Amino acid sequence: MDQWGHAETLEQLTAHYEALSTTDGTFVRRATNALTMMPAFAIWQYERLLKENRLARLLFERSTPLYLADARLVRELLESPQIHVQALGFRVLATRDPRAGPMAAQMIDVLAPTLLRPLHRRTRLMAFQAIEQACLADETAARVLVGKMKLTFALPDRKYPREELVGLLGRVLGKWPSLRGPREAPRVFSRAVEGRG
Amino acid sequence: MFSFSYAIPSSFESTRTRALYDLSVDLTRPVRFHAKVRQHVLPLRFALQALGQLIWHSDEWTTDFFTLDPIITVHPDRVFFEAFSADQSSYGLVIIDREVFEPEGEVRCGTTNVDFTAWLWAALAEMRSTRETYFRVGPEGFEVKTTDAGGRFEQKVDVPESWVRGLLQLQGAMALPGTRLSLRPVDLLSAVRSLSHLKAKVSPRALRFELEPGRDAELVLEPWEKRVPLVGASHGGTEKRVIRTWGRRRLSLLEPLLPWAERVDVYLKGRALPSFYDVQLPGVRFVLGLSGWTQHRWTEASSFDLLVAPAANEALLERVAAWLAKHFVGTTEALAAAVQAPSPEVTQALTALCAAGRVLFDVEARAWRYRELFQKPVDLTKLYPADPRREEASGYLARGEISLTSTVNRETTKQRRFKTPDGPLFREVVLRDWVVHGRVGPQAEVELVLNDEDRLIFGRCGCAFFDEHLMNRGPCAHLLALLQFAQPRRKDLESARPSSPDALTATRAAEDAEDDGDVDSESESYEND
Repeated sequence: MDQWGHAETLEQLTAHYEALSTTDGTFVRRATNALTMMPAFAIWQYERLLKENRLARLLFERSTPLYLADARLVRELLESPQIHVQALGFRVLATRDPRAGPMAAQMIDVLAPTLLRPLHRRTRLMAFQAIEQACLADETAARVLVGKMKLTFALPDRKYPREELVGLLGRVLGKWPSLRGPREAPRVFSRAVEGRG
Repeated sequence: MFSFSYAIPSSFESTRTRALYDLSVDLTRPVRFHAKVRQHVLPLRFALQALGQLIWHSDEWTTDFFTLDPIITVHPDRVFFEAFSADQSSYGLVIIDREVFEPEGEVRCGTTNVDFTAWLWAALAEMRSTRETYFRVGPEGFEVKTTDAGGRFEQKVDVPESWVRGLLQLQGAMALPGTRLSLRPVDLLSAVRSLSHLKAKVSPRALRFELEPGRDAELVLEPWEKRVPLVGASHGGTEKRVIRTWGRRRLSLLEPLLPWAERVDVYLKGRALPSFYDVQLPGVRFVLGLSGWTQHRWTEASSFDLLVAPAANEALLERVAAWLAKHFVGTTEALAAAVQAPSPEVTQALTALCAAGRVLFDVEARAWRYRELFQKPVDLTKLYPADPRREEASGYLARGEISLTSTVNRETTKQRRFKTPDGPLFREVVLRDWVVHGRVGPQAEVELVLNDEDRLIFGRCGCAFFDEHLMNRGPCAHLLALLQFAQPRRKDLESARPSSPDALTATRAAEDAEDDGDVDSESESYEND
């Protein structure tokens, strides 16, 4: 539905962005530049935007792995005041790609506060995935983030996805046993040895 | 009336790799600080955004909105911004370490006002750690602007004296003795989030800090009596203390900062007195001062002043001011040694300078900083008008002519139902009026009653002033003296408790009749201190 009469412009813009080279980084640079100029609260209905706007689909959804080409641009996305652009940054870092983990580990200063920020459940789960990538890639990053994760349980937010957070914490502690506290070591039960009662 | 002269409106320029904040300063007080932000760009952005929120959050529905433009002070070791909200409720101070900046060219230290519009506040969101960020504070550089940028303009702001007095009192309250608690940011965030989920339409609505010996402090949200343990917040007290503060909704100004914070220090100055929250971010600190009052209360001339300009030795005052102007910062002891005067006299001089807006007390370092808030010295006699009743009251106090006959807590209990995310909560709310009887000078029978929030709600005296005006022109000197004498002796108790089974049944039964379900039963009792 072309509510605003912008269909033709959108088509031209989409074609323009699609024609940009993805191999030399031109596309991601231009796309990031456009996305990070968006002010906070500029998007009200993200689902509808994706449904009706081909350019939004290209920038937000279709090109996610391409942003991994440049860590500086991913940080730009994460520092944007627009929450959907930040969410794109989380999705980029959550991508199953060998570059994503080390890149996420470099950005824990931005990722760690997302544990305490007020976010919608869906956005927070995306942030959790990015945090998981950072934790699994680097023990030092995991040490910082595990501390923050444990603090998060003090929040009174009723809709906070605590089960998912516990799962995340478990996976990170499983990967790095040295980060476990005394009460976090798994108890292994086995059959009692005969003669020992 | 305050008048500022700016060469050009402040501006913001941004490209893909570079951002420049050109903050235009008052030409009559030229300060120059051109610098590149070397590190901690994001904490700086969040702190300045919080300061903008403090200035602009209450302008939407008022026609008489005014504010003084924020004040910037450049010192050799730090740069700081200050602002005070129009409703006199909140004071914000952003302190930035000089290590955050890489100065370019000459730095001219001093204090001045900056043109800080709501538009510029919104543009702060453009700050990124990936871009080179520059701050340019000063009158220079406007020649290179485009013609569209706007020209020289003057701004006149008619600021009420009560507002100026409120600002000076609040920032002066930082120097009052008090209790310091060091909190984990998540604990304060937990309290702020709880307050955003819960709504209390009626009293009691204080934020209560409970300090029990040998245990970490606890925060209690009234009237739900929800306890927030403050892990690691030791206080070193040897007896149980309870401090109630008001203005808790304004703590939401800190919410965006707390996830990024490393630590929060809370400075409590006493019951119903201002409280200060020092949020420490990497390289940047944001100090939020909550006055515990809004306009038309304490800042009225007839009310009590926290910071009455004390009489001070003029010659000593000038020596202290001159030393601070040269060295920018110093502790009381350092100043006493420098000007070769006893510490109590130096403290008195510093308090007088603070009351005049010439000095700021650094609540964390417990040091005084030189900061001329106003271009021209304010008229202190106008700002703190001589009040014969207050002077007479101080006389009684100084001569020790006051004695207390009795202090009684008059309790009113009400059964209330509160909505919470977990369902309705039934509480017996205890409102305590404090009835004080005493003798003041020639008056043998003086009585006053303070409500739960320390407002004087009833008074009785045998003097001629009271006979003629009752309380229409404020309390008489005897009531003022008794109040000043008795107030520090008031002790806080819990303000709500779980409803008894009988009361609960009665409340539930009455809910059918009353839609609101607020007041079911009311009873009064008396309890001696």
